[in-house]
Amino acid sequence: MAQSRRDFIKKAGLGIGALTILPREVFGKMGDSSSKFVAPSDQMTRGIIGVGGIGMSNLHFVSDERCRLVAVCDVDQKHLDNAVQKGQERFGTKLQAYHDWRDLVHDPNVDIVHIATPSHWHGLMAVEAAKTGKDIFCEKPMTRTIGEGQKVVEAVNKYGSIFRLDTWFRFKDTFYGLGTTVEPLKKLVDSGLLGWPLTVRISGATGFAWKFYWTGRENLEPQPVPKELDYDMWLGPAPVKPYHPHRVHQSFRGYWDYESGGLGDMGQHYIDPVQYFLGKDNDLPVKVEVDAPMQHPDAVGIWRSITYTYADGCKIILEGEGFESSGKVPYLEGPNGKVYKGFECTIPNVMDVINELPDPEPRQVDFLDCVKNRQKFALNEENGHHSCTIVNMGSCALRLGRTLNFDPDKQLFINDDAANLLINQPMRAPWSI
Amino acid sequence: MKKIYSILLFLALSVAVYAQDARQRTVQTVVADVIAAMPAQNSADFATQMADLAATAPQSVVEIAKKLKPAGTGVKNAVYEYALQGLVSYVNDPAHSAKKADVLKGLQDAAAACSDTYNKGLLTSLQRMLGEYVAPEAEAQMPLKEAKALLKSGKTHEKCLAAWTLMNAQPAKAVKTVASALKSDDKIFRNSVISNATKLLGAPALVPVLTGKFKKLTPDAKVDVLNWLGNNKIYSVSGIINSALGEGGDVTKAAIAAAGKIGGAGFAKSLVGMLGGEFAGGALTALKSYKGDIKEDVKEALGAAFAKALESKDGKDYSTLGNILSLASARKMKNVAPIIYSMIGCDNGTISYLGTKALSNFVGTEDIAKVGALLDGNAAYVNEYSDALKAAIHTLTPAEQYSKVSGLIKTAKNVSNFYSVLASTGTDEAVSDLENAYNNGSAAALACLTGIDNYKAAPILLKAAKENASTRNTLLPRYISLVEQYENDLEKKRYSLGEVLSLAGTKDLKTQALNALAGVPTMKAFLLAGKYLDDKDVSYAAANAVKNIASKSKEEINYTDFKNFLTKAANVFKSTGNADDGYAVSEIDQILEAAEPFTPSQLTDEEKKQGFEMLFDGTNLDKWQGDLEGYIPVNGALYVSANYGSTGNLYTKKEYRNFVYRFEFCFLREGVNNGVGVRTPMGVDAAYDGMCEVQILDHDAPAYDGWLREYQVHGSVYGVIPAKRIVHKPLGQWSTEEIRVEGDRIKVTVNGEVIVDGNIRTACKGHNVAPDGSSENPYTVDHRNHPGMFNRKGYISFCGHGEGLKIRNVRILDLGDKK
Repeated sequence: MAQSRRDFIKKAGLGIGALTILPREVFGKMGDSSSKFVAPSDQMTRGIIGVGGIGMSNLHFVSDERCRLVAVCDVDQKHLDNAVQKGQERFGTKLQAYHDWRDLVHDPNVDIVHIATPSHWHGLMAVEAAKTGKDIFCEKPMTRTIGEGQKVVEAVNKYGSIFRLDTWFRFKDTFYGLGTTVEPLKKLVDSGLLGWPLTVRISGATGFAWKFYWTGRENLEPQPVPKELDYDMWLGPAPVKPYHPHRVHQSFRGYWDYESGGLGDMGQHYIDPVQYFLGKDNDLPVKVEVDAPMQHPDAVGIWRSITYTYADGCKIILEGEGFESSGKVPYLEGPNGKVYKGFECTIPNVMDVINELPDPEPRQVDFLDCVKNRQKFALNEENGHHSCTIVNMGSCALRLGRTLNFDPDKQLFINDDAANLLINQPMRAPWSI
Repeated sequence: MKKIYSILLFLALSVAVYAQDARQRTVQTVVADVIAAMPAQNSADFATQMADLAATAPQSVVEIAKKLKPAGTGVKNAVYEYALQGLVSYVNDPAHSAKKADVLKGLQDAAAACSDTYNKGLLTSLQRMLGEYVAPEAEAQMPLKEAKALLKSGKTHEKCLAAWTLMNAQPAKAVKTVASALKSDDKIFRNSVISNATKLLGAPALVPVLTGKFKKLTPDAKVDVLNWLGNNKIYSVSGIINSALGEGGDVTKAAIAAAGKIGGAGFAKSLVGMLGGEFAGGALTALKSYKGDIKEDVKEALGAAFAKALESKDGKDYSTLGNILSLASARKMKNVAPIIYSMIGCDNGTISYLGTKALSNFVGTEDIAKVGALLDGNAAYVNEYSDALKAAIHTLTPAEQYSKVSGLIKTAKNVSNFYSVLASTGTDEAVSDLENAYNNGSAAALACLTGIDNYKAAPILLKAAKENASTRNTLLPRYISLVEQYENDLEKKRYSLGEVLSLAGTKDLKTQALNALAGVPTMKAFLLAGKYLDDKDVSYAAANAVKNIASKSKEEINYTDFKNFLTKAANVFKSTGNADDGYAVSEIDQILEAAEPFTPSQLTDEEKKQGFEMLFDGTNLDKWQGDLEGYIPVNGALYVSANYGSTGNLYTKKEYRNFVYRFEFCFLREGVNNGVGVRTPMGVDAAYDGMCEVQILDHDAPAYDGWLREYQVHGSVYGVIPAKRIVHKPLGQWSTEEIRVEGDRIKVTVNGEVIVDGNIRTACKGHNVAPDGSSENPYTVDHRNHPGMFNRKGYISFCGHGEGLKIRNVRILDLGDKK
């Protein structure tokens, strides 16, 4: 087999690279996007699995000197053709097109596997990518079940991969209703000014709206599968159900077989930064309570609230459809103070105190640097699995319609067979993780 | 009637002996009752329903499963699926596990009898949910011999796996694996082994192996070790980090990052010392987050850098001073304030400017006078000193802030230098001071009004923008944001944003206004946003607004507009084509699916025979004139809504004398007030200048308790003939009304009941106005003059008094002018 790009990088760290590469300064300063030069040995390659929705977004369907897009994969021929055509138009390169994602994962020219499929595939693909020595960029939510998340963590560790989960509010961008990045909140929490334990309310009233249009539909009438779609391969490990266009592509989130509706779509975006600023990246709640109408076995419905409680009394409350919060609702509340939407705080001149504190510890927020330097990305398989587990605890409780108790160390529900059966769900043959 | 019967039956039977079912229903009846209530909306209902099903299991399960039809056209299995899923969840609850076996048996029997693949699949998966949880088997580990071989000759990820296998099998030997990995030139392998060994043994156990031969490691491996020391906060080997700080290249960079993460007393001085030169960027990042007291080190370094910069003859290198200043600023180190003032006061312009710019980070209330004097005396740095003064007063209350600033202004030579600080107080007084200054010709005051966080500034900005088109692009963005933030009345908000849209000339401004409009979930906002869907510049913002309003509005929106605008919006999203646009299209599809068109009202056959004419059938107001803004046809009904800035009255196009006027009305909120004007001219108060106003009023609202006069209740000929007081239907329900006017006679019928039948001329004994010409008329019950009472002819009108009324099916029989 030809030497892969990645093998080349590994060795380039020493010796070869030092001898053959001219100093970058000759060509321009690294990191300056207008004039950057990337030595061939620093260049990485990427392949995207799933080019229908997020995989085709302007954020991800990109190719540049630091990381070239070389391959795409989709089970919908229209998506695939479109991606190849756009690749030609935008990057002037012929992208390698794959129908079967395993071919992309095994392509020696691909260093980084970007998983942009519906989430029932995420775990399986990530594990397989790790097994073939790839690094992984995975869209949120990380995995559809807690068990699949555990497998991903294990595989990434075993095979030495670098894994990035794609949501970002724990390290950049204005954080929804907060109106700031998450850092000031982290500093405030760390300062202890609010007291302990803390309660976080994620609701429309605090600037975090749940997208309840990601609900499923019942009584769907079977439709013929479009000829461009390989429905069997789209389903993969999921049970076979009669085809209906609402089950796939942009509305798939409404079906428990593939995801968990608005909770799955936005849950990790909203909850992951909370885990960060509460300092609970290695912790999980011990209890989850739900208030919701009963759920259908197939179609995801709405919910009024989901409440998580940690062992130390901290809470995350998700307020959803029809949840009436009276008056002004704090986003973050502790015994000694509250923080509202827009970082309005009951503690006078709180920014003065925050500003005098050191910034939170710097984190690795450049994925390609992480790949190069083999450092964990700010949001990686470990903390990503934890925040995704919170999302999945919620979906288990919703599906069962009752309060569940959880053991964060064992990552199992306590004395609850039914709930634990949802942690590890069987995959349709021949798939297994 | 039916309802009461079943409740009584339930009460009677609920005390019966608990048999198969407390109500002695057959299994089929139990199932039918539960199915009819699927899905349960709350846990109490759920518990009752599922208890019934569980009590009758396994038969209930079999009965329900029998009803599952193979997938196909018109198949509605959802209620059965809900019931089965619910039952499984219910008996899975440890509190109800006694019935688990029965439910499982039911599912097994049902699955055996089921021939449809998909339904069988459901029944099987539900059985699984009643099973016992067995942890998945651990993956078989690679034999150690194989692992050892692979460690030597495998590809990188195989070597990682081999090392992981060996270390997990023999943790005691893991340190050795780490030692050998450190010597490898494969960075992936090295880091993988270090990371997995740390998980296995804990960081402290690895310190000796990772740092023992640090000096002999390759620079690349040194970087890995330093990263590891930082991530694991290992302070015990600070000597290694300190020496690595001096090595240069990537090793120094890694050492700086590690020192920053570890913090404490050991590295501060060294890092502060690196704020000039090659590694300044990394040192600055590390120190901004450095845990530990670095104030004195920074102060000392700042003083030294200041002195050095003063000495430097070429005047070129201020970067060290700038970096230290940037660090002191980021962490608001007030202890450096004296040095900052010295910098400001020094002769070197560059240094003085650096100090000026940073000043705001170091001041408090004690600096107000000092900073005020600097601001008054320096025209070049008004922005910088304004920032400093704002920072100095910011801990005071707004009133105190205003008093401090206006105090400074009183003695100031350059008053306008203080406008921006004045604005920052956000007080009403500041708004009015700045408005006065603007009226006296100060453009600076107007500019500062855009910086004030007070809604009272909004009308001033709008007025100025209207007067002077060239100011619009600076004033209106602020106007929009003030409206967005402070206007709680949705209708006023819509009106204000509409004004901006009519003034806006640029794409940016229109986009901003449409984005703000997206947060106004009303029908009128929807219609306004929809107008911009064809404007190429802003069609995307309009599409977004239309979608957001449609999804959030609780008001009904005319179906034709609704469908038309949303379809257009979907096309805009489709043509843009990003991932989120696809989601938007899918959201619109769902919104449209849930909406339904209406059927226009029609005359009854009898009405047709009699010669009635339809005046409003729900579709349009073609036969009406007047306030077409405040009365809007929506899905078959006329919405009366107080339109901000509108007049409130809607008139027929034709004039009438004798007629039968029929309509239906519905209150949407308590206390609604409107009326039907009879024989009225336009633009007057029909109750006095028309023949009369027949009152429309939700007189049952508590707001009217105790003070409403009898001639004001619903149906009354206002002020002239009191109506019989009726009890209105609940909010949201429709009532019928007929008003018959012939000569002086007027008859009002509501929901079939005659509540007024009188003669206006008799009612006031022929005196519609006071005989003595005064305003006090003893002959009318309201003692008012009604000069229009004997009008021969006039329009019929709706006299608007605010929102909350719906009217539909308005028709009229013209009885001619003879009587």
